[in-house]
Amino acid sequence: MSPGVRRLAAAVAAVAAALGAGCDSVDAVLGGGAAAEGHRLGTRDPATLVIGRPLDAISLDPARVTDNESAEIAFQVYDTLVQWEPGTATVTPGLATSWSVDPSGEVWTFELRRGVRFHDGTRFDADAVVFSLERQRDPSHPFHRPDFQYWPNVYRNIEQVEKLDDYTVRITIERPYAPFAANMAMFPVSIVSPAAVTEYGDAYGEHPVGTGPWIFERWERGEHLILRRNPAYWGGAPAMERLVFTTIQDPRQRLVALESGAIDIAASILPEELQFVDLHPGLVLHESTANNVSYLAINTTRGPLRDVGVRRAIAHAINKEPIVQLAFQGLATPAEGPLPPRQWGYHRPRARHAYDPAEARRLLADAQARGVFAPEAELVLYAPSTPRPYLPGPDRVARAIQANLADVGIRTRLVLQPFGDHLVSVRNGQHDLCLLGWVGDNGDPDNFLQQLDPRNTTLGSAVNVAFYGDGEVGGLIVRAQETEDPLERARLYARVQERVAEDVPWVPLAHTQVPLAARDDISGIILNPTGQVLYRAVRRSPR
Amino acid sequence: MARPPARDRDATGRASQTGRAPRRAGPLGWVRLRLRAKLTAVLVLAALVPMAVVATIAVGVVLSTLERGLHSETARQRGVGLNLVLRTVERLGDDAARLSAMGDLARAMVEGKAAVAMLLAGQAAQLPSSLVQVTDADGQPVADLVVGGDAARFAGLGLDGASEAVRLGRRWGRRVTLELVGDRLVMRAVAPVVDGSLALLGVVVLTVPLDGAFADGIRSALGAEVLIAAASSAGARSSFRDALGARLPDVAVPAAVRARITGGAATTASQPIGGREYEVAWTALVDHRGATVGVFGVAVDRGSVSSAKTVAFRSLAIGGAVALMFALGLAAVLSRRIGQPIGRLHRGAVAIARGDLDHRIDVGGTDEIGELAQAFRHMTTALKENQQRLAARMREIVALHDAGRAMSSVIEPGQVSRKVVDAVARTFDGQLCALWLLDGGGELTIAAARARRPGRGTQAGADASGAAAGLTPIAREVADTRAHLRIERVGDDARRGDALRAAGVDGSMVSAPLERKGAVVGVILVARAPGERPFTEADASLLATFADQAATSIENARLYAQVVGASEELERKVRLRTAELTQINLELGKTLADLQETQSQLILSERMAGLGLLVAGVAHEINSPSAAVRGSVEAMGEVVSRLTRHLDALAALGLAAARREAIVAWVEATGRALAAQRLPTGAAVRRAQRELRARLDAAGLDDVAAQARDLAEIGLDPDALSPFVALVAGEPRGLPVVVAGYLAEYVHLHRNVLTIHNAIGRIQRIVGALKSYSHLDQSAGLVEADLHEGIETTLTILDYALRAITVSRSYGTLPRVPIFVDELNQVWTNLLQNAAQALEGHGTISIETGIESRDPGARAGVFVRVIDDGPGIPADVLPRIFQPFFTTKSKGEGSGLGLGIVKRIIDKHRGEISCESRPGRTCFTVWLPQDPAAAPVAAVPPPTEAELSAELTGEMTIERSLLPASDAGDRGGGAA
Repeated sequence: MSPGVRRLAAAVAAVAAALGAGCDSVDAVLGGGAAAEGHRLGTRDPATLVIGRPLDAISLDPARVTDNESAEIAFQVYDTLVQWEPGTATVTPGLATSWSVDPSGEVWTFELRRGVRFHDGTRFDADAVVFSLERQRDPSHPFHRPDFQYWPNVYRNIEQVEKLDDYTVRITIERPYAPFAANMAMFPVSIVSPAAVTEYGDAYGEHPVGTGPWIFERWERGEHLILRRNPAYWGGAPAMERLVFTTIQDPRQRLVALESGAIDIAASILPEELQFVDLHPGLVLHESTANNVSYLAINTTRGPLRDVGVRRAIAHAINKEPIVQLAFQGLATPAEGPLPPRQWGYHRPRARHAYDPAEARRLLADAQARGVFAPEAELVLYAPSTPRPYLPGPDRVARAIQANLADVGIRTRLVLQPFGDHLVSVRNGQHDLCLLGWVGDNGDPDNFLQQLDPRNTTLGSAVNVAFYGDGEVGGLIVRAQETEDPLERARLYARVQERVAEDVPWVPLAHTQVPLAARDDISGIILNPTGQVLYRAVRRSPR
Repeated sequence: MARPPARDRDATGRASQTGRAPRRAGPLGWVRLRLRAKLTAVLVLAALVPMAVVATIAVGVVLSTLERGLHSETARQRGVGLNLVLRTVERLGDDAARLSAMGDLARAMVEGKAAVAMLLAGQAAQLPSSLVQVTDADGQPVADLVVGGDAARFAGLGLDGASEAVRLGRRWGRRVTLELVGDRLVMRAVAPVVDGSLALLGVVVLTVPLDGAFADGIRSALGAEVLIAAASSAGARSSFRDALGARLPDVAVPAAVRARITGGAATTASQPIGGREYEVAWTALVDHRGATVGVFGVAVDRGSVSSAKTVAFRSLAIGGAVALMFALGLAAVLSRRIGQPIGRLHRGAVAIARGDLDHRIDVGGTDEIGELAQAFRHMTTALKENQQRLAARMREIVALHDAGRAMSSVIEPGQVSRKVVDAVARTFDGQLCALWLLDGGGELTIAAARARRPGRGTQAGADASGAAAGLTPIAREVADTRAHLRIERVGDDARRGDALRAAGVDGSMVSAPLERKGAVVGVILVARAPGERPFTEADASLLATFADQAATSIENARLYAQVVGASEELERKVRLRTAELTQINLELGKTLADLQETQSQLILSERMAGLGLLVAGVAHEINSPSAAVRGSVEAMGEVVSRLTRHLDALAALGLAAARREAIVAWVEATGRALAAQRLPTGAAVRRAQRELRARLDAAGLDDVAAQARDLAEIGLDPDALSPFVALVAGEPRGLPVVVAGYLAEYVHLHRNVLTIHNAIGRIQRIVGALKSYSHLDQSAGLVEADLHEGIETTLTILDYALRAITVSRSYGTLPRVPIFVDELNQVWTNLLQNAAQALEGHGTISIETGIESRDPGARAGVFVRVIDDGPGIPADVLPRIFQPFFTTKSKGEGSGLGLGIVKRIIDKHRGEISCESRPGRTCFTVWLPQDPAAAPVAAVPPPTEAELSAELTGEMTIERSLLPASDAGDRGGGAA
C-alpha cells in the first residue's frame, strides 16, 4: 500500500469516526437535555431518578414543616445527630459518632463526626449543632421564627444545648427520657449550615444546605425539585446522579407517567390502582411501613363506658375484617394494639376481643344486670369527615361500627365534622366514642403510647382522648421513659400493652399502608420508620 | 530490482516499477501513459472513496433509524396494548364492584334466586360480555349468566363455591386477576355483596377469556395486530385474519421469546405471520401473585422498512454508477491537462541532460508547470553562457601558467620585467603592453614595454618605451589607487582619453598594480586597438592575478640583489649580540647570590617556627600539671583543717591511748592504700554504700548512714569493714562517726598529695625530653645514638599536638646509629607533625622501625616508618613533596620548607627518604646507613649550606655552566 493510499484510508477512517461520533454526541445532547427536564419520554439519563409525588414540599427548612413531602426532602439533604438503621427503628450513629447519657438520665453528650462539610463547604462542628437546635429552642435567637412547629411539641423537654469543644455537644433535658435519642433522629432537628441560614434568612427554606447524601440544586415550586448527588458524603456517595421530585397531583396521571417510564417511582398509589400495578409486569409495589394506628377511642370517663365490661362488649361487637377490606380497601392490617406490628416494643396481647357479637350481647346483659348499662341510652360517636392517612374512609368506618354496635344493642349517634373541628371536639372530651389515629414520628414506642398516658388528659389539649387514667399504665410509661436499656423498656411496654388490651380504652382498628410503585429496574428503596423514602441506596439495574 | 537509469524516472520523481519495459518504447509515450494512469486512478479514488463512505454511512444511518423507529414504535404499541389489556381487566373489577354494591342486588339476594336472575337479566346491557356468577354468603350458587351471547366462549370457565376466588369474596375480599383454566387464559373479578353495615350477602364473580375476540377488542382500540397466549400453550390467539376476513389459526410463539418472557423480560422479535414479516413486541402477563400466566404481543408490519431498504440500496447503486462515470471523465480530462506539459518538460530535461542546450521547451501557461518550463529555459541559457565563459578562462589560465614558468626561470631583474611584459602581451593579445617599477625614490620608471603594429608582429625596445612613456600618468594613478583600472572604450573616457590617444592607445585598456607585502612595487598596463575585443572585468581580474605573480618574481629578483650586501651586516649584529649575552650571565650570577641569601634566611625561620610550635606544646604540657598542683594545694588547706577537727574530736572522746593509736595506725595504713586506688564510680559507691550500711547495721552501730556514705565515697571495700567494726564497736557511741570521717579526710589528703606528686613528675619528664630533644648538652656532631630515644623524645614534646591521635609503636631491635641527634629530631618532628596535620587531629599514626640493607652494595642500615591513615597525598602531588616551598597546607599553616629540610637532613646522613601514599595509608620511610662513611659517595664530605642552596635552586632552567663556581657532582648524593 503506497503512503498516499494509506493516508487516504486514514482520512476516510477519520471521517467515518467523526460521523459516528456526531451521531453519538447528538444522542448525548438530546439525552442530556431530556434528563435535565426530567419529563421527556424515552431517552432519559439513566443516572437520574424521577419521583412522582402528589404534593410538593412546603419548605426545605426542616424546622418549619410537618408535612411528609417536606420531611422527605429534609431526610435527603440533611443529616441528624443519630439516624435509624436502614429499614429498622434502631438508632445508629449519624452526625454523632457516639453518645452517652449520665446516670441522672438528663445530660446527653454527643461526640460529633469529624471531617464532615456542609454542601456550601463550611465545616460541620459543635457550633452548627448548637445553632440548629438553639434557633428553635431560644425565642430570642436571631433566627428563631414563631412557626417552628415541631419544637414545642416534641423537644420542649430540652433545657440547654452546649458546645463542650469543637466536636462535643451536651444537651440537658428536664427529666430522664429514654426516647430522646430517637427524637434526635427526626427531621426537625436536622443540622443546618449556620452560614447558609445567616446568608438567606427567611429565604433559607428555598436554599437548604445540609450535610446529607443529596445536595439541593433547584426547586420550581409545584413543578419539580432537583437534588444532586453529594460525592463526598461521609456515609458513602449515592448511586444515582440526580433526584428529581416532580409533582403530579392526579394519581391516575402519576401512574401513567410511571407506566410510560417518565418517572421511576410513584408515591401514594390509590387503592383502586393497586390491581393494575399488581398485574403490570413492569411495575413493582413497595409497601410502606405501617407506621400508624387508627382506633375507636372509648371515653372512659363517660357513663356506662366507665365499665370495663361495656368496653369489652364494644370490642367484641366490632368486625374489623370487612372494615379493613372494604373501608380501607385492603390497604391495611387489622390492629390488635396501639403499636404497629413492625414497631420495636410491639407485643401481641393475650386479650384480643375477637369479633363475637354473642359475647358482646352477653357482656352487655351482664352490665345491664349490674345496672351500669341501659340499652335505650344513646352514645355519641364522633368521626372526621375528611380522610386521614390512617383512616381513608372515616364515614364508612363509622357507619359500619354503628351497624356493628346496633347489632349487639348499642344505640349510637354519629357526628361527622371536618378534621380540625373533630380534633377540637374530642380533645375537649365531648364524645363517648370517637375515631382517631396517630402517625409515628420517631420510631419509638413512647411516641404512640403518649395517647394512653394519664398525664395527657388535659381538656382542650388532650392527646389521650380515651381519658384513660390507669395509674399502672402511667407509671410504666414514665418508667420506660427513664430507662435506657431497650430490653427493659420493651418489657415495660409489653406490660403496658397487656394492660391496655384488658382495659379496652380503645378498640384498635387498623394499621394502614400507603404503597408506592416503582419501575421494576429500581432497587434499593429504603423506608425509614416514619414512612419517608431514603434514596441513598437506590440504583437502576440494567435489564 | 535494478535501479532504472534517470530517464526511467517519471515526472513525479518516483522510481519506476517497470524498469524492465523496453526503453525504445519512447520516453514520452511511456511517461504520459504511466502518469496519466496513476493520476486517473488517484482522482477516481479521491472522488469515489469518500462518496462511498458517506453513502454507506448515510444508508446505514437511515436504515438503522428506520429499524430503531420500527422497534420503538412496536415497543410503544406494546406498552399501549398492555395498558389496554390491564385497563380492561381493571374495568372488569370495577364492573364486579359496581354490580356487588348495587342496592338492588343486595335486596334481590335477600329475596331469592329468581329475583337475582331477573335483576341480572335486566342489568345485562350495563355488564360486559362475560360469565356472571353470583353465590350467596355461604358460597352456594344463586345465579349463573352469560352476558353477550356465545355461550361456547365461556364454556368450562365457571367457578364453584369452594374455589379460592369465592372464598376470598366471602372474606369481603375483592380481586381482579388473570388465571389459567387449562390452556386458556382468563380474567376474573371477584367482589363481595354487602349491605350498608358491611354484612356479607354473597359474592359476585365475572369471568372473561382472553381469546381471539378479546384480541379483536384490543386491536380495534390499538390499531395494531394483537397476540395473546397462555403460558401453558405454544400457540397464541390473535387478531390476525386472512384476506377473506377469516381468523388465522393460532400463531406459534417462538421458543426464544417464551424463554425470555418467562424470565420476566420484555422482548422484540421478527416473525413471519400469514406470509408477511412482522415485528412483534412481546411481554409477560402476570397474575396477582406475580407469576407469569401468559404472553401478550403486538405485531407491526415490517413491510415499510423492507421497501425503504430496497429503495435505499437501489439509489445507492445508481448513484454509485453515475458518480463513477463522472469521476472517470473528470479524471481523464484532468490527467491529460496535467500529464501533457509534464511530458514536454521531461523531454526537454532529457535533451538538456544529453547536452543539447539549444533544445526549446515549448510549454506555456502561468501555472507551476509553466513556471518550471520558464525556469528550464533560463537555466539552459545560463548554462550556455557559462560554458563559453569557462572556455575563455581556460585559455587565459593556460597562458598565465606559461608566463609564470617563464618568469621564474630568470633571476636578473631586467630580464624578469621583459618576461612579464612578453607574457602579458601574449596572453592578452595586447597592442601595447608596459611595465613600470617603483624605484627607491618612489618614481615610476618603465622597466619593459612591447608594442605591436598591425601586420608587423611585435616590437620591443625604445619605440615601445617611448609610446609607453606617455602612459606613465595613468600608471601613476593606478599605483596611487592600488586598484586595477579598466577603460572599455578610450573614446568614452573624457579625462584620460587624450593622454591615451597620444600614446597610441585608442581601443580599450586595462592596468593593474604590482603589489608585494601590501606595498606597490610597480604597475602593468595592456592596451588593445579599437577593432579588437574590449577588455572585460574578467580580463582585469586575471591581469590583477598575474600582476601579483609578477610582483613576486620581481621582488624575488630584487631580494637576490640585496643578499650579498646583507650578509656583512649580519655578521656585525652577531658580534653585538654575544656581548649582550655575556652581560646577562653576569647579572644572573648576582641574582643567584641574592637567592642563596634569602634561602638561608628561610631555612632559619622555618626552624624558628618549629621551635615556636615546640614551645607552645611544651608550655601547654607544663601548664596542665601545674594547674593540677595548684588545685590540689588549695584543696589541701581545707582537708587539713577538717582532718585536724576530726583528730580533735577523736582526742575529745577520751579513748585509752592504746586504742587511739591502734585506730590512728589503722587509718593511716588503710588511708594510704585507698588513696592509691582509683576513684570508685558513682554506681560502685551507691552499691558499696548499701552494703556497708547493712553490715554496719548488723554490727549494731549508730548513725550508720553517715558512716556508710563516708566510707563508700573513699572506696572502702565492704569486705574490708571488719577491722573498722572491731576498732570502733562499743563505747563511746560517737566513735564510729569520728573514725569514718577521719579516715575519709585522710584519704582525701593523700589523694591530693599523690596528684601533686604525679604532676611534678610529668613536668620533670617534659623538661627532660626538651633537653634531650635539643641536645643542649652534646656537641653538634655525629653521635652514635638510639633512634627510639629520639623518636620518644619527639613524641613527648608533640604530646599536645597528638592528644587525640592513637600512636602505635612497632619497634624492632636497632643498633646504635651515628646521627646528628638534634637534626634528626627535627626530622621526626616534621614527619609526625605532617602526619598529625593530615589526620586533622583524629586517627592513628604507626611508627615502625627495623634493620634493612640497601643497594648499592648491601649497605647495612636501619629504617623508620611513619605511617598515618589519613586521606593520603594525591598522585600528582606525590613526586613534588620533597621540593622546597612545596606545600599542600593552606596559607599560613607552613612555609613548605618542612619536607625539603627533612630530605636535606637525611641526605646529610647519606640516608634515603621515600614516600608512598594512597587514601588511608601514607607511609614515609627514612632509611639511615649504619656506616655513613661507607656510602658510595664517601669521598665527598657532607654537603654544606651552599650546596643545599644549589639543590634548592635546581628548578631554574639556567644552564649550570653559566652558574658561578659550583660542582654538579652534589646531585649524585641526593638522588636516591
